[in-house]
Amino acid sequence: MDGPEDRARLIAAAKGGDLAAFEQVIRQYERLVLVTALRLLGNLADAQDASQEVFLRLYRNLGKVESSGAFPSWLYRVTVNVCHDLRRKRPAAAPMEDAALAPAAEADPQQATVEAERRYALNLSLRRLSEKERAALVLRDLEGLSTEAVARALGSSQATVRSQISKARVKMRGFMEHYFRRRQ
Amino acid sequence: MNCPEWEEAIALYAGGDLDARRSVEVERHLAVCAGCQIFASGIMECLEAMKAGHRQEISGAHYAAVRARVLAKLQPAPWWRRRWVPAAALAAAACCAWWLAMVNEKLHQPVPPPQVALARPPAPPPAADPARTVPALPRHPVHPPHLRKPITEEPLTVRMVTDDPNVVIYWITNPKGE
Repeated sequence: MDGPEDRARLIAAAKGGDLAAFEQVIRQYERLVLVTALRLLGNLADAQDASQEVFLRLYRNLGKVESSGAFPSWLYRVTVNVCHDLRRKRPAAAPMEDAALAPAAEADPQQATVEAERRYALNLSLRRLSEKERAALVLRDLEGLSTEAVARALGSSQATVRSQISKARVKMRGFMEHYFRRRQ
Repeated sequence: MNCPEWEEAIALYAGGDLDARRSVEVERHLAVCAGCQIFASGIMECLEAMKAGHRQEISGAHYAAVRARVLAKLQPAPWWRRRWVPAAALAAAACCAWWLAMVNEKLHQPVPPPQVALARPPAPPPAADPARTVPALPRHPVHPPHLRKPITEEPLTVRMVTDDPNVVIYWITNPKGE
């Protein structure tokens, strides 16, 4: 049910006003959109707002998307753009552990605390990056896209994306080192 | 201390983003540079921690909430919520107000006096002999003064009742009040 033919059939039905078909399209891509938005924005409420906007844009552009042939890439690009817009509109809140995420099953409470603190520091370091660096890092290292796919999603060249990714990794490492050195 | 000129290459190498030739160059450098080894392992550790930290799943209810919100926005609105309805309602109200104003104006217009058609008698045919013409009679007979009824002037009696039942005042006068 995830093949290009099925998707094309669903999109064609959705374009004709079949909301049940569009709901199927949403179900196929909701994880991609919501998780990416959450990684870019750092909180679930904003990520849900961004996801809603992404799917509404998808509905309005069903014809274009169908003909573009790069459906996930289009979704990544729109998600990144919507998250940028949302960030500009709403001031970034302090990163925090989102209650919506299921807690990691750590047997040892001390280990769980260490993990939680590391996650907090990582989220903080992600927020210190520029918008483009964060988007490149999230798509490449967390979403697992190739450099070429990241470049397509961000509308940049591969060389630019490579540079953004390397800078982001170096900055993150520097931040984490600094954060834990200060804590000791 | 790591070598700044190697930072970018090492950062890409740590994420597997270098081609084979460049990867070999970085590995050769790492083999001889302890600072860069520490730097490289720090980046790899960071990447691992980041991936592990974001492996957590979002609960299905949050996906369902987004889905419901999107579909609610796409549902066709009932007719009374459509965009043209307020404009149409406003136009209808304006029409009603205009019609009421017109009716009101008509009701308060001064009524013109009824047009009475004057029935004129047809003109008399031209008299052949002016000496034999009969003067037209007035519609109402006019009596000569000696035939008119004399106006009887009966006295006017006014009876005034007072509070005292034994006292009644009569005022007798002529109609002229003399």
